Amino acid sequence: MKLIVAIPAYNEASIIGSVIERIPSTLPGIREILMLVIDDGSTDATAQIAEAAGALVLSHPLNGGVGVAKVTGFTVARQLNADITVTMDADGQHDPANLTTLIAPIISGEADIAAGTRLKDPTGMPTIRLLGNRTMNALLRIVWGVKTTDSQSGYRAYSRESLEHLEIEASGFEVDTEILIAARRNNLAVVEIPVRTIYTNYSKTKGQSVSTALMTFFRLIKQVITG
Amino acid sequence: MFIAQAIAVFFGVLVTIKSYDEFRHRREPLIMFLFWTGLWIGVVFIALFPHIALKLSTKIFGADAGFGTLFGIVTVFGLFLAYRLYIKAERAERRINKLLTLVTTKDVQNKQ
Repeated sequence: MKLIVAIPAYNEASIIGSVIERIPSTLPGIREILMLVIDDGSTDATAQIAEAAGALVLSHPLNGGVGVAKVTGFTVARQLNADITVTMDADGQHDPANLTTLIAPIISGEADIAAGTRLKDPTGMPTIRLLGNRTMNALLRIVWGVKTTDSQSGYRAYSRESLEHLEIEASGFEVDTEILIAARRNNLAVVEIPVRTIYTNYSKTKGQSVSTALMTFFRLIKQVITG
Repeated sequence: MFIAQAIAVFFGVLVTIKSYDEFRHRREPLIMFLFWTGLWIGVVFIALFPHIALKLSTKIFGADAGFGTLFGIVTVFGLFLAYRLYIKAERAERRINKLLTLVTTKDVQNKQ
């Protein structure tokens, strides 16, 4: 099986190299691993460093947002016939050691999407971020009927078939939530896999809070209104 | 009253100058420049000469109507305009996003 690890990155020059280097070169059940960095119009050396670390780098001519970068990643995964696509954040908070358990349900055919969840054991997660995530989870359940413990996790694995069904419009952080809504709409099987989160001073500055959760909610509502 | 008039004149002049500048640099078509200028001349006129505007509105909408009706129509029109602009901006952004992905993923097979 061919695995693409898609990493959307915007001005992550200080950490992108180490994120790529920590990804294992072999995984059980995987024949080929391609590291793909979608440089979302960075103004620093993100693209050059990622390329030097061995990733295939595709650069947006301008900053479109993490949602657009993920759509670009999914498009490339389809073009390059990836059997499994994993999305990871570029800030180093996702532990590559979880890749094996994350892709296992996709390899076995048990699920279309394996969503990493940080909230089965939220130890270390800043309170404000925990509150933001739980707020969004509750809103998602009430409004769209999606049951999840971590609606905003960007650490997920997707089967080739699931990518055929996901039509994403979101351009910002709301993308991960929109994916769950689209998965439910398309009756895709989603399983949650507990993942470890590496909280560093750097990654703590990058996350989402209550305001982001509410912004995400309003953006999703806006999408429904504007069609 | 004077404060309302001053604010209306201030914004009227500001928008007209801005619109003219956009038109001069060919970033705005003539029709839009004329539309915004005309609209703000109307707003400033109502603010400066309310008695004339009241006479006009009574003539157009009848004796029972007055500034209230005029204000209601203008508010509804303003909200409609804002909504249309919002929808158009949203759609434009989505098209740009699609274009970003399209441009970036072009010839990806050769880049691998």
